[in-house]
Amino acid sequence: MPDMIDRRGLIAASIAAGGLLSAGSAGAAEPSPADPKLGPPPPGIPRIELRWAFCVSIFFKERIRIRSDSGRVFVPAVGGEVWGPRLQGRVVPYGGADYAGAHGLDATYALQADDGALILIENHGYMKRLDGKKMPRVPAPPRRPGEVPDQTFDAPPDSVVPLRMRLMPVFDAPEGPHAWMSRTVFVGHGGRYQNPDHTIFTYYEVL
Amino acid sequence: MREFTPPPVTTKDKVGQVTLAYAFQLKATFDPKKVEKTPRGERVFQGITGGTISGPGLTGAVYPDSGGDHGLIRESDKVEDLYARFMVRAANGEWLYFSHVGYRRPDGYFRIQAYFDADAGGPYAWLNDAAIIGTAEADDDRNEVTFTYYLAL
Repeated sequence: MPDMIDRRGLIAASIAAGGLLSAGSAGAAEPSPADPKLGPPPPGIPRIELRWAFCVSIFFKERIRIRSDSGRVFVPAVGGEVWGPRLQGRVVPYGGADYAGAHGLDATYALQADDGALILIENHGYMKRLDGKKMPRVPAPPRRPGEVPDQTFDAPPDSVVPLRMRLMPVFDAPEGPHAWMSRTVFVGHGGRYQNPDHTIFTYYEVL
Repeated sequence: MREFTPPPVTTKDKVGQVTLAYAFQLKATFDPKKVEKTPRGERVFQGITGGTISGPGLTGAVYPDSGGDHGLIRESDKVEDLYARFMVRAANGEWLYFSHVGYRRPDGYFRIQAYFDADAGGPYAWLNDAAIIGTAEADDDRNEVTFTYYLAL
């Protein structure tokens, strides 16, 4: 996983995210027409710093596909956890879903902080394969009882198919200690894992 | 409410990394603000009158009067919830759709998330699947805003 680091490397990641403004290690693997030209800004251009806010794990049990041009896939969240420096808690069980489609990721989940506060997240973004192939859009074959789902089908783990998932979430938080989330722009990273089927989202505050 | 106990996973010690690459800058000009007082706050419309885009990722110009900002200054915290949309003509003649959401706070913080539509087969197709964030700097006396866009990789 070229763009995952362990927690010990977090300080280095923060520097890479906010300070160096490099094209990124994952960028080298992707044949993006934009990457070669882009890089650090010239002098006089405003810079941005990112700061790791928290991670969210979300667990899944099924994907329901609609056979249309929308490519819509309904992926309910069974539950999950929230951890990190600025928010700790859980994903409310069955408290939301991804309705991803041809337009990209389109998820709404309810998070619950350790103090009980409910926070809604609207997660927009994209997930694409770095090998240039398209995500399959045909419906999956029906599953027999007890059959292990084919997780390589359309949301494979990063270890099977190199993926890039990036997010531009919006949070709706109540007044109180979490209100800052409703007035801060975020950007995020997603990583796919299997056994069990889950995604880890990492969110950065755009300072 | 159904309950769920997350299984123990080893991925909790992983933190995904995001790096930023400078993409381009837009210097935009707007009409004076039109303010409507709604129960949720002040809806502020500002039509876009023009602008120029330059940088390593894109060169072009805003198509005048093709949109603007329909922001809402929230009653509760006076933060402007930005919603700006307009059309851009790239230097190669291609039309691009720009859409932005973001927050402009009374303390001066002004940051955006940007979404784009570009020709599927064109040189700017990478804008269609991209996470792009940016800074904004407003000069309210002159109705000018400078947006600086970074590609998140």
